[in-house]
Formats: sequence, C-alpha cells, structure tokens
Amino acid sequence: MATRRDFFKLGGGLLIGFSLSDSGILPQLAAATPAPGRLDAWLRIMPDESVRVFTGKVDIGMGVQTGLIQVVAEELDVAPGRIQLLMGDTSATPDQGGVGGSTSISAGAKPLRNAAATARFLLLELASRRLGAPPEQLQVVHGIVSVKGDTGKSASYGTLVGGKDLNDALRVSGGGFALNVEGKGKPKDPATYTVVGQSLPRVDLPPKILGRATYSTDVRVPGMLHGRVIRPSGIGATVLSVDESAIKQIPGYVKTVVRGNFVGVVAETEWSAIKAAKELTVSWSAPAASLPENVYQHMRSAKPKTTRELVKQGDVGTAFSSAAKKVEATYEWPFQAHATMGPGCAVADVRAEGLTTIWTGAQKPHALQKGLAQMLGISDDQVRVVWVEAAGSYGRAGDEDVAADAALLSQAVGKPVRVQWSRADMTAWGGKGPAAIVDLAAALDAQGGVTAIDQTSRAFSGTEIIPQANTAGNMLAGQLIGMPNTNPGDEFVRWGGDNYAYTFQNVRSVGHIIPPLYVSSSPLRTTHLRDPNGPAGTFAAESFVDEIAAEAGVDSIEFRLRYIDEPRAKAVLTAAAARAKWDVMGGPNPVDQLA
Amino acid sequence: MAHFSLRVNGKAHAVDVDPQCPVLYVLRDNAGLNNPRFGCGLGQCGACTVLVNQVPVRSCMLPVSRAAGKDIVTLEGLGTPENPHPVQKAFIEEQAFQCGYCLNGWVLATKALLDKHPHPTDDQMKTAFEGLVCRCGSHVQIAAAVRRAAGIKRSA
Repeated sequence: MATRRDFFKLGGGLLIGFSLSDSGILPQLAAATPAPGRLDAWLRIMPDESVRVFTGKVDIGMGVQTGLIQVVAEELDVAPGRIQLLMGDTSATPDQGGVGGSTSISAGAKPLRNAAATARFLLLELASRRLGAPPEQLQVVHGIVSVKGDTGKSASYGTLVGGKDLNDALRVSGGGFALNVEGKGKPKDPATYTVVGQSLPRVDLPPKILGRATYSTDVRVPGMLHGRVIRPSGIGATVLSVDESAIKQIPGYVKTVVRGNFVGVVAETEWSAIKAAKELTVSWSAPAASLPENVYQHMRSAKPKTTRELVKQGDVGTAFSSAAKKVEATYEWPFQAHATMGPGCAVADVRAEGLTTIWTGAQKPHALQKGLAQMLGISDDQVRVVWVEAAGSYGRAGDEDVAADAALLSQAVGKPVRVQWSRADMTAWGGKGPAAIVDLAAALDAQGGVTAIDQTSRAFSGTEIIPQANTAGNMLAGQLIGMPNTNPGDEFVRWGGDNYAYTFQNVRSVGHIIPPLYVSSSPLRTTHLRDPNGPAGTFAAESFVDEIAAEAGVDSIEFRLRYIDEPRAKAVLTAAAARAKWDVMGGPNPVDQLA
Repeated sequence: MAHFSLRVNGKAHAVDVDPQCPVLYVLRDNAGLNNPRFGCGLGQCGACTVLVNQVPVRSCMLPVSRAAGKDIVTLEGLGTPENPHPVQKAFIEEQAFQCGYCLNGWVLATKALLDKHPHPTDDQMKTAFEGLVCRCGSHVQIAAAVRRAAGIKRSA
C-alpha cells in the first residue's frame, strides 16, 4: 500500500506542458478551440499511464499550475507526477477566459475537477466489466483499479482505456472565468481529500532553477527572424519619412516595415535588429498633444467623462452634520508601469494560407486570438495563439502588444519573427495602471467611533484598454496602423476597491472618470495592473483607516476588527497581524511608542 | 564581424559576430542557450548574469570581444537535473521564486558568493546581491535558500 509520502515523492521533476514538436497531443493542427462539452477536451488518459490535462487557464507567475494538477490528481486518484498540464493553447484547450481576478482555482479548477470525476466514473465502469465486480467494490490507488479485499484483481487506467478515447458528453454552463462542465461523475467530498489542501512543491520551479524551463523568450522556430519596433517620438506623432540607408549594411539586416505609424525592422539576429532599430532614421511630425505638467492639477480641473454614485448607504449628510469630529485626507496615486522583470516577447508565424501561429505570454490567449485575427485581416480559425510562460505580470502587461508587433512584422516579411521589447519599450509603451486622486472624509462620534465615510475619486479609467485583447484597436500596433480602440471601458476607483469588509453604517462613494490624455496609441494607455480589488482604492481606504484609528487613539488592527463582521476577513487580518508580529512591533511606527 | 572562440559550460564555441555584440545575444542566438535572460539591457537587474572566470557578470553589458577565451558558465551549465549544483538544490528545496525570470542572477551570484565566503555574513550577502532585482518579491525565500546552501542555521 502506497503511503502519502510515496504519492508526493512522485510529484517531483514533473513534465509541465509539452514540447512544441510533440504533435501527438493534438489530433490535428487545426485552429478551432475544443468545445468544452466533451470529456476529451479536458483530459486524456495515455497508454503510459500519464494523464494529459487541457486548460484555458495560464500561469503568469502565481504557480497555479501546481494547484490545478492537485485538483485533478485528487479526483482521479493518480499521483500528481503523472499529470501533464497543457495551458492556454487556443487549438488545444477550452476557452476559460484566460486568467484574472484571482479566480484560477476558485472558478477555473471547477470544470477540471468535474471532468476528472467523470473520467474516474467511466474508468470504474470499464474496470467493473473487466474485473467482474460492481463499481462500489472497486478502489483506486495511483491510477490502478483493484477489487477491495482482492487486490490480485486489478487493472491500470492506461490498460482500461487501451489507447482509445475515453469520452462522454458534459453539460456546459457559464462562460469565461465561470465556464463549468458537469458529467456523470460526482466530485469527492472535500472531507476525504488527501492531495488538495496539501502544500505540494511547485512543479515549475525545479526546471526553472536548473535552467531547463522554456519561457516565451525561448521559443525558436525554423527560419525565425528577429524584429524590433520604433515608436513615435511624441504623443500622436506621425511618420513623415523613413530612411533605411544607414542600416542596409548591418549584417543580417532584412527589412524595414512601415504601416501607418507602425515602424519596425527585421533582421536575422536579435543584435542586428537592435542595432537597426537604433540607427534607422525616422522623421516624425510634431506631437499632436502634450502631457500636463502636473497630472493631479489636470485631474482636478478636467471635466469628467463619466460620473457615478458608486455606493450610497445610509445617510452620510446627517452623520457629518452631527459629527463630533471630522477626519479628511487626500491620496494621490500616480500612473504606474507594469515593469515586468522581462519585457514582453512573442514569436509570430503569420501565413497567408494555412495556420498562423503566435507564441506569447499573454494572460488571455483565446481573446488575443480574435484581436490578432482582426488586425491581420484573417478569420479567427486561421490563428492559433499558444501561451508560453513569461515573466510574472498580473495584469495587461505587454505580451499582447508585443504579439501584435511580431504579427505585423511576420506578415510583412512572410517568415516567423520574434520580438522582445527593450526595457525602454516596456517602460514607455507598456499599458499603465491609471492615475487616481481619492478624497476621503470620515465622521467620528465623541468616542472616536466612525459614523460615516464619504469618498470622491477622480481617476483615469482602469480599462481604457480592456484586459481582453479581443479587438485590433486594443493593441498598440493595431492603433498605430489606424485601427481605433472600439471598446474602452469606464472603470472607477471605489471606496475600498471593488469590495471591502468594513461595516461602517453610512457610506457614500462618488467616482469621476477623467478622459484619456490622448485617445489612441498613447504611452499612457491605461489598463489593469495587479488589479484585484482595485489597488488605488484599496491603498486610499486602508491608509485612511489608519488615519482614523490614530485619531481615535486605537491600535489600527484592533480598530479594523471592530468594524469587520465577516469571519474570513477577520481571520485573514488576525493571521496577517500574527505573522507580521504586530503585537511585538506595537504598530506601524514603533518609534512613536518609545518613552 | 569578427571571429571569436568562447568556452561555454565546458564546450568550445566559435562564432562570427560583431565585436560589440553583448555576450547575452551570443549565448542565446549563437550558442542556442535559454539562459541568460534579457531583463533590462542596462546592467541594472541581473537577469542576464553569467559566470565569467567564476565572477558573476551582466552579459547584456559585456561585448563578446572582452569575453573571448574566457571560461563562461550559464545557469544550465551549473548542474544537471540528475546532479544539480548544491546551490540549485537549496533554491529548489526552499521554493525560492515565483515566476523565476530573474533567477540567473540570484543563483549564480550565490554560487560565486559561497565560493568566496562559504559561510557569508548578512552584510556579505547584501553586497553580493546588490543590484539584483526580483519583481515578485521572493527575497525572504531567496535568503533562506542562500543560508541553506551555506549550511547556516538560523533561529527564527
């Protein structure tokens, strides 16, 4: 009988993902995304006893692949080490909306769990016929089904499937992050879990630390060239002329590509492309707009694009007019660059006929497929986007934009082109977290208790560029060739972010959206940046709660606990304080406590 | 273009490249290695670190002409999956990264540090890691891995 220790030992040295040349994983190289209503869209039992799992989720640095493997291992009763996970390939994985909002396990693992439970159900049916015992008399250990009390009668999953399709129809519900499937098998009772809930070592780390991992920067395909882009010299500047005479003698130089205001160079090596981009002479028009000297002054005086009452709870006016004390503060939150550890990188192999393939670390590959197809003027099913792990990002960092750059260059030269942005490209032209001003006021009673909160925010929208790069104009390259951004969104800075735990009685929150400083191909295109719960709103609210606590003369953890009922929020706060040794520290600034 | 002979992970490589081409691109494009990695191209992050004659060097700033004839070790040359370097083993055991894109710098700088100071002080560690960036904030686990590799026990 295998022990749990044996079980986990197998978890080391996993193969994650598949080599790009492993065509066996794809029945045919077609662009169509697998429909989620079939079991084999989610997993397959291989003759060598490995289990191949297909998910539209990707891993942008949070280590979610290990968690997803655990969920499947639990339901199937196989060692985690037997599971190979393929993530975010539009031709091989169902569309689960990519990743976002910290929902990859809570929502994204559900269809995998249900598919695995159904696979186990079907495997037990097969085993029942083969071993001549009813399913309820069977047990599974490490993917081997045996008859309880007679383990001589056994069959492995691989043998039971025998290289054939293990398939069944699944009921599909929801879409995007909420996509779910249900089949004949019922998932286990969580009380019986032995794998889920354990802290397994991350499967991706050993190959990374041993220098054996493949990031998007490491994708190499036959005949691949290297590209670099040259961005406008100012906001809205347009190309007047391009002179390539200075770069023609660079060894390996291939071509300069100009489309609208998109300018790029292609060369045989990365270094030649870098030199060519640096030495190419491009004459640009004067900028069409300038940035304000003081962005916060601009935001105070600009006419809002949209204004909305975001929270209206109780009677804030009355609470303030009868307040014993009032606390006010303003929080200014700047534009922020993603500054990913590695700038965005992609390889595009755009084919006039047949299948176009783009490898990139984008967090929503299925959405990107649509945006790139639109930009290239071909149909969605002619484009395959393959996610490959990139430097951690947590937002709409730059992998979509660089994929569009690579795609335009590849289309122009008719060969695969790899583009990695420079650090300057990434800092200047990557999407930005939006600047915000948050004005906060609190009404306190005579005992320092909070009777009301009043917030007004002025912010650029968090979604001038929506995180789904599903239109051509969503991406910088698309904008530079004249495709408008058709679906900008209004995303407000709310009191405490999108949701908060505090039980303050009277709350009002009003949000103003400031129009973009420049509407297209701006270096200040705003988008999600490490977004769960809205960083600007959370920063302002939590800083302000500290201010109110100080005004009330109460330790800020204790003060928060007075205004939180939700048990999980309480537990998180208490655990965080304990781990941070809050009681020993004596507060945020122990110097204040010195006698 | 000029001809250079490099010794990379114990193997000789002959390349014809621009003498100004940084070693980073020679290793990635000519030698076909996945490490080092490009982070900033400015010598400010350490993702492109390699060991040159045992010294951690930012390969994005090192022209190939200055590396010719020298002994270069990259992350994949430090150990193998079957026989990882003790420093790699320690980082694996401490689960020391999130996305891992920066780790060439941390792992190779640790190797060089422990070669010089087998039981480094905190100050020696700080000096060795100056100018290395980890954007995920894995620094606590990184420090634990360095101490584990050095066999330093640390009270909580």
